Parts: sequence; structure tokens; C-alpha cells
Amino acid sequence: MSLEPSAGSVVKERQSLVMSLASALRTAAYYAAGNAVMQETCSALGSALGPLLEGEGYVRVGVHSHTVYVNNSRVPFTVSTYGRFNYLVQQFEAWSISGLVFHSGMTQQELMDALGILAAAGQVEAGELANALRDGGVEHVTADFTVPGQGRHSAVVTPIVAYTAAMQLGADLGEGTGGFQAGTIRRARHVTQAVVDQILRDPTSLLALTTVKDFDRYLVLHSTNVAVLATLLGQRLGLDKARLGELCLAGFLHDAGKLGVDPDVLHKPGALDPKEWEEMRRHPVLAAYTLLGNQRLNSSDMRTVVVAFEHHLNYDLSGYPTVELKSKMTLFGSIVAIADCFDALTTARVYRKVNPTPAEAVAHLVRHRGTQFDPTLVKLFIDVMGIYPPGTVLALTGREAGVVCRPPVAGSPVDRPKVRLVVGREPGKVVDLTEQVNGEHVRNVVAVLNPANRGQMPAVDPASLVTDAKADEL
Amino acid sequence: MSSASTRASERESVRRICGRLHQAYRGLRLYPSDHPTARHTLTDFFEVLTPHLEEYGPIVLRVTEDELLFEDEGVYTHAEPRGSLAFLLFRDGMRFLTLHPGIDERETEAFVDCVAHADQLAAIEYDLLTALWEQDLQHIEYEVVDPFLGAGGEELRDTALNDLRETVVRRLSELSPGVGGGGGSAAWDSGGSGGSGESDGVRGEALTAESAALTQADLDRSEWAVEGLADTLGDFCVVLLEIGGIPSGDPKADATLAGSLALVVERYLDELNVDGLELVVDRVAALEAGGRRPPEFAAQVFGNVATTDRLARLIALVGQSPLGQGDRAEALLGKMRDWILPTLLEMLAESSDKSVRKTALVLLDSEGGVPLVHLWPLMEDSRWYVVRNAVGLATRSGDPALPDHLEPLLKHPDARVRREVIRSLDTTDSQRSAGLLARALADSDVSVRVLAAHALSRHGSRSHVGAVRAQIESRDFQTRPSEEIAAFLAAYAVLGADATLEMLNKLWRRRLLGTKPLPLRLGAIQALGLVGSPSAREALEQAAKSGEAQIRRAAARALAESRARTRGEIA
Repeated sequence: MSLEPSAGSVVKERQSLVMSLASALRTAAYYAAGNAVMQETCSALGSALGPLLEGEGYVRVGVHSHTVYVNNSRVPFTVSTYGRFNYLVQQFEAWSISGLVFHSGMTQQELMDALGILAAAGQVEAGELANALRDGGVEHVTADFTVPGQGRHSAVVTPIVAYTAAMQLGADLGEGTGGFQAGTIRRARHVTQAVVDQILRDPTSLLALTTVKDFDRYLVLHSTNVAVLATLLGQRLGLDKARLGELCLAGFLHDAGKLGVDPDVLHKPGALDPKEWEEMRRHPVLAAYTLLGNQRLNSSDMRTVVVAFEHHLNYDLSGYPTVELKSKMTLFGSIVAIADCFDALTTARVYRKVNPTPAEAVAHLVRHRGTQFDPTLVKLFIDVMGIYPPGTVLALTGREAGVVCRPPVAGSPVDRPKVRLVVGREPGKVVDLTEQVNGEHVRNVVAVLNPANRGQMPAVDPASLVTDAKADEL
Repeated sequence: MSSASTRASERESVRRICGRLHQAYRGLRLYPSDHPTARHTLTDFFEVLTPHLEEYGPIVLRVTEDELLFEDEGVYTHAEPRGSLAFLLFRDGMRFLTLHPGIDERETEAFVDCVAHADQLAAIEYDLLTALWEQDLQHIEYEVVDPFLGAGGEELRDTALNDLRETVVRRLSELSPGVGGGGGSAAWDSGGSGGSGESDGVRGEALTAESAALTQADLDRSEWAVEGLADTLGDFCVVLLEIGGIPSGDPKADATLAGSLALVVERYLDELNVDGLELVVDRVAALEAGGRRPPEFAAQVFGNVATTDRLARLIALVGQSPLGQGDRAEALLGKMRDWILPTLLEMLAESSDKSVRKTALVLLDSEGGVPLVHLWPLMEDSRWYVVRNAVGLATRSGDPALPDHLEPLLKHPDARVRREVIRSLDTTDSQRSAGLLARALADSDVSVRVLAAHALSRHGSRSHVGAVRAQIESRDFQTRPSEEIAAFLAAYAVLGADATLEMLNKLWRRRLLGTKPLPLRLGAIQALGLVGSPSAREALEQAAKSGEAQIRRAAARALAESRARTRGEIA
């Protein structure tokens, strides 16, 4: 029998170490060094660090691309550990560091002091934290701020650049007929990678942009929006960067088959008759054929085909196309099906008597979980979006109203997002519905509104959508 | 040491690192990653890089079309642009490359591997930047000029941005700002509760936070789902097979689908994935049989990828049977047989492994036979066993043109081939075959002659009696092996019937002078039994009274058999 620990047990040990560090940092924010709770937490962290310190002489907990590493090994998070991992990532960002290094020879007291300094640090510039630790007499815990990923030569791609690049790609694809030109998939990979990078940096950075709905350019924006929403859900599930890249690309290309559908049917402004539906229902298979044209077997391309084929299948395998062999939907197909449905529902259609609000679209997902949608993924989607997703117009207490611009941060109540006020005393101000005074919430949701029957309203601040030249003028 | 000399020594060190990086890059271009030379160059690169990073900190290299620059001084160049690292990096958009302290061997190898194979990536719509992005290397950072993300296309991007802003402003204006909060206005219709049921069935009761609470079962399910992502190929295969069930009516689409399925089958054969192969084989067979895919679809899927090497590995499973794998592999091969005939025939001809040839032959020889068009070339092969096997397979075809193709083989230098030809002719009941069998009576090999005589007795006619008799009357006939004598005399009797009695009687009877050898006499008695006429039986009754015990016994046996044959008790 091998005495070497299995790869699985090593990962679990490292996950446990990261969880202990996150818990210790949170505890240190509330309790003083001598407190029994603090001592217990600190002792647990010391135990988690012990074997690695003994074996390798140091433990470096690093963050890169929203991913946590322990001594250069990626430590995957899961749905259940997401909260604490996310907290750690946010703390590292606030401290402008890429890693904390624990060196052998560290005492329990030194660890406790270090945690106290870290917890008190708040938002600091790179280097300040290292100085604070040194000044506090902590020698065996150092902050690593020569940050890979934040070096002086990082390319400048903002969420808006990534989103508009995706939009342009969607528009260019829409002008094609049937298959793709050489280089299109390569371009799509670059664009979707940029989208994933933005989501890894700030999971909700692109969410507001997905609410800029314009029915005239539905297909162009829809591909991008589905890619963003699907990637967000995948990120919440703990998928690694390469898998997120695959998911984002698959989300982006899921409707590629619509290029082969009769344009009169595709662009018909009203409801479709049965024959037109038949034509429309060809698009998942058409997409698969289009994407198969490349004839190669890499993980990304295979998933793209699978997702295009599955995205109108239901969780119970009803829907279309009719299947004979499948026993269940794939994870990526289930994710994109949710993203696709949500984005489609929240895009206003002129022929609908009432366009659903984002909150109603989420309720629709919930109502059809277990039959149409994967029930666990629906819950995770709500965890990401909140029950009032961005773009929902809310009437608030105090005769105020506004548009949800950001979902609740991870760990906060799902019904308390951030809202940009539109009506009331402070139009334009962004308020956090978790804000409390004397134990009472400052604002509460009174009702979900549907002004002008548009369902969802843009959650993005138009002032953020300025070109560099315009910004200079301003 | 002065600052200037420190910088000079740092620059020299970077130059050395770039040189080792180039060696490692070349090593991985030329050899597989586990080759000792490749390993050696990778280790060299890592061993010179890490002490430098520890001493001097990160290395920032500026990438130009033909040089790598460190602090604006060239530290790497290469005479041949196609083989230049700088060119490769620059071509895919990289402008700065930074190597950070903390880098480990896995990262350096992954980086070098991506660069070394960058040229092959374009064919699969990948490039160096995508490969590096997917690797997500912690300690290697790069800045790129990416035309796909608006680099050089600011105007286009600005247009898109303006479009977005205008859309946002227009849509927000529909909110009629200034209208008093909380209802009353048409613009502020409440849509959250009430459920009018008018929005395509979407509206309904409001959600509560509790409805989204994740349970332990949800957490477990989501973690299993992520783990289940590993079987991409299986998911892809099922989708292809589902698509196969939806008739396309478009030959181009059929070819596309078959091509993709072929890639899957190729991978399954390489992995000896019997489960996967069974799924594809059964489904494709059903689709073709049900007319949902055109004839030849299955051959397109399997034909090119089921190579001799791959099939030989699958055949090697047959006989080894962990958990019935062997039986399943055999059944699979049987089902695939018609789609991979050319490969099986090639294996039959080319495999050096006798057991593989044997399995191939069994498969080929199974129901349905092999179309003769595949076999003619093999009949001209220089190797006797290839020709013999081809003749054997051709026999099952029952093609009337077969004897014509076999005729030249009656002169084949190897008796084993000629024997197989006779066996084959024995199965085809035609005048042409009988004529060839009669010619084979004069073959130089005894076993061929014996087989030919037996076959001719079954398929010949009176017109062939002369050929048989010519052999019997030949000077050396009496000295031939008893088996051959018996075969010829039997053929003579069967084909000539009563006309042979005189000669057969002469042969068995004892003479004062020149009595024939005993095998000849016994053969004649046995042949009389085959004539079966009253005159023949009369001759046998006389022989049964012979004073020679051996003749007596043989005659009695032949007589009994003749009577039984008359009564229909034996054939």
C-alpha cells in the first residue's frame, strides 16, 4: 500500500487550509487577539499550515485570476466553499497583494499578530501591508506584492472593451451565411477569453451590460449576454479558467444555427405559426453542423457542438430536438439553457402583451425547475443574480424607485441588491439595500415595477459608456 | 560591485536564459516531451532561470519581430525568422513577456511547450495566446496587441460604445424620470405580483429568498456535475449519434457528420473503448438499416479510421476476456465487418501475426462473404498464403465468374494454393469447373490430384471419363499411393458406370502372370461398389467368393454398401 497521500486528499487538505485562513481572517475582524474564539481559530489555521511548513519550509497562499493557489498548486473551490474563497480573493485585492507567505519558525503568537494586522488593514496600496507586518514585528508572515497579473505591462481590457468586442463579433457573424470563415473561431476564442477575464476579475462587472437590450439587435446582443450569464453561473460552480473559456465560447455560439434559418421566420416580428416553428426548431441541429465543419476533436469544440444541440432541450429531455439516446443533459447545456431562457424572456417583444420583468423571469425558471431546468443550477443562478436581477425596476420605501444595477454580493441576502435611484430625492445615487441603521434596513422593496411594459431596463450607468476621446472632452 | 556592472551581469544572465529558452524550444519542437534531449533542455532552462529570478527579480522582455530586448538592449536574436522565438511571440501579438520569481518547472515546461507547438495551432483555430491563456500560468505574464479586442480598431469600438450608450439613454428615457414614486403612473405599472397571465405564462407569484436556498443535496449535486465534465468525448459522441437520427437529406451534411463520428471512433479505437465503440456501431447500423442515413454512411464512419494497427489491437483483446471484453470485442468486429472489409483484407495479407490473420479470415469468411472485386488483386499476390486465403474467401461468393479467375492458379507454384483452388472448384457445380478439375488430375502434386479426382467424381460427367482413364492407364499409376489409386478408380466408376466394368474386373482379378498390386485390386473392388448396377453387383458377388481373404472381405463390404446405397440407406 502506498504511503503517499492521494492527489484527492492533497487537494482536500489545501482546500481546508484556504478555508481556515479565510475563517481566521474573518474572525480576526471581530475578535481581539486574546479572545478564546480567536485563539481557537488561530490554532486551527496553525494546524492546517503545519504539515506543509514542515515539508516545504513555507506556505504561499496566492491569488491569480480569481483562483487561489497554495504553493503554486491551484486549489479548486466548490459551490460550498465559494463564499470563503471569494472572501479571501476580495481581501487580497483590497490589500493589493498577490500572496501571503507563511515561513517555518512562525509562532502561534506571531500568526495571531499577523491576522490582527491583516484584519485591520482595510483598503491599502501595494507594499503598505508588507510594511505593516514588518512594523508589527511579524517576521514569518510576509505579503507578496510583486504581483503576477498586475505587472506594469498588463494589457488594458476593460469590461466595456470585452463586451463591445463580443458585440462586434456577434454582428459580424450575423452577416455571414451558414458556415464560419477561417479565423472566426480563433477570434471568438480571444473575445470570449476577454469576457472570462473580466468575470474572473469581477464576477458581476459585465452583468449590467447584459441589460442593454435592444430588440433590433437581439441576436447580436443575445449571444454575448448568454455567454456572460453562462460564464457567471459556471464561475459560481467553481469551474477553472480553461473550462470557463469553453463555456463562454459555447454560450456565445449556441445560436449559430440561426444563420441557417429562413430569415423571414427568424426576423418575423409576431408569433410563429406551426410551419415556421418547424423551421425555427432546426436551428440547434443546424448549429451543430456548422460547428462540426471544423472536424477536430478538442474539448472546447466538442462542448460547443454539444451546447448548440442541447440548448432547447429540457432538463427532463423534452423540448427539441427529439432525443433517443441521451439519458441526461450535460452541465454546460443545462447552464446555457438557463442563460438563454433568461435573456430571451427579459428582452421586450413588441407582440407580447406584457413583457416579464427580470424578477418574473427568475420566477419562471423556479417554476419550471426539475422539468425544464436543472433545479440546482436555478438556485445557483438566483444566488448569482439575486431574486431581483440587474435591470429590475423596484419601488422602494420612502417614495423612491430605481433600477437594480448590481446583484447582492456573495453571502448577502438574495433579495437585497444595489439599486441606482431614478425616482426620489437622490436620482443617480447607487444605494445598497443591505444598508442598515440601528438594526433596521434603510430601504425595503415595495414592489417590482414594469414601466412602459419593457420588462427589464438598462442597469448600466450611461456615463460609464463613454469613449476615451469623449472622456477627455468631459 | 558598481551598479553598472551589476546591470551588465544581469543582462548577461538574461541573455544566457534566452539562449537556454531557445534550446528548450528547439528541443520540444524536435522531440516528444518525454525524450531525454527535450527533458535535458527544459531542465537547463529552468536551472538557469530560477537563480536569476531569485537574485534580480522579474525579467521583463520586450518582444519585437526579430529580437527580445531587456532594458532596451537585445538579448536574443536568431538568423532564421521562422525558427526565431521572438518572431513566434511577436507574430501572435505578444509585445512584452514577464517571468516572475516563484515560477516552477511545470510552468516553464507548459510555456515552452505552447511556444514550440505554436505553428501547429493555427490549423485548429488556436494560437499561442489562446494556448497560454488556457494554461493560466501564474508566474508568466504577457502584454499583447490583440486586434480582436479592438487594438487598432478604436473607431469601430467607439461606434459600438456610442450605440450602446444611445440605447441605454433612449430606454432609460422611457422611465419618465420625475414621475412620483411608487405607482399611480402608467409608466410605473407594478408587475411583481398579481399574475395577469398575459405574458406568455411567465408571470406568477413573487419569489422569496427561501426558494433559492441551497441544500446539502444541491451542493453535492453541483460538485458531482463538475466532476462529470470529464467525459466530453462521450457527451459529444451521443450528440453526434442523436443528430444522426435526424435525417438531413444533404450529402454534405452526411459527410460532415460521418467525418466527425470517424474522429470519435478513431479515439475510441485508440483507447480500446469497447463501450463507446458498441454504442457507435449499434446506432450507426440501426440508422443505416432504418434508412435514416444513406448506404455507405457506416463505411464512411469506420472505413478510414479502422486501420490495420488499430484493428490488430482490438483483435488482440479477443481471447483475453477481462469482464467479457474479449467476447464483446469479437462481437464488435463481427458487426463492423462489412464496413472495414478492405482493412481486414489488408490485415489478412500484411499482418505478421498469424493469430491476427486467422481472426481476420474468420471475420471475412463469415456470412455474406467478400465481394470478389476486393479479392482479385490478392490472388496475384506473391505470398502463397495470401492467395490461398483469397481463394478460400472467394469460394463463398458463389460468383459464376470464379472458375475463370481460378484457372491461372492451377499453375501456381505452391501446391497449397492449388489444393485450395480444387476445394473451391469442388463447391461450384459447373461444366467449367469440372473441366478444370479434369485438368488438375495431371497435377504434379499427389494431394492435388486426389482432391481433384474426388471433386470430379462429384461434378464431372461421362465426357471426363477419358481424362480419368488416361491417368489410370498411365505407366506409373500402379505405383502411386493407395489413396490416389482409390480416388481415381472411384471417379472412373462413378463417371463411367457400367462402361467401366470390364476394366475394373480386369484390375481386381488374379492372373497367372502379372497380377496387379493389391492396392489397385482393392481399389477396383471398391470402385465396382460405386457403379451400383446389377452387373457391378454380380462382379462383386464373384469377388466375394475369391480365395483371397482380403479380396473377399473388400468385396463383401463393397457389396453391402452398394445394396445399402440402392436402398437409400447411405449416400
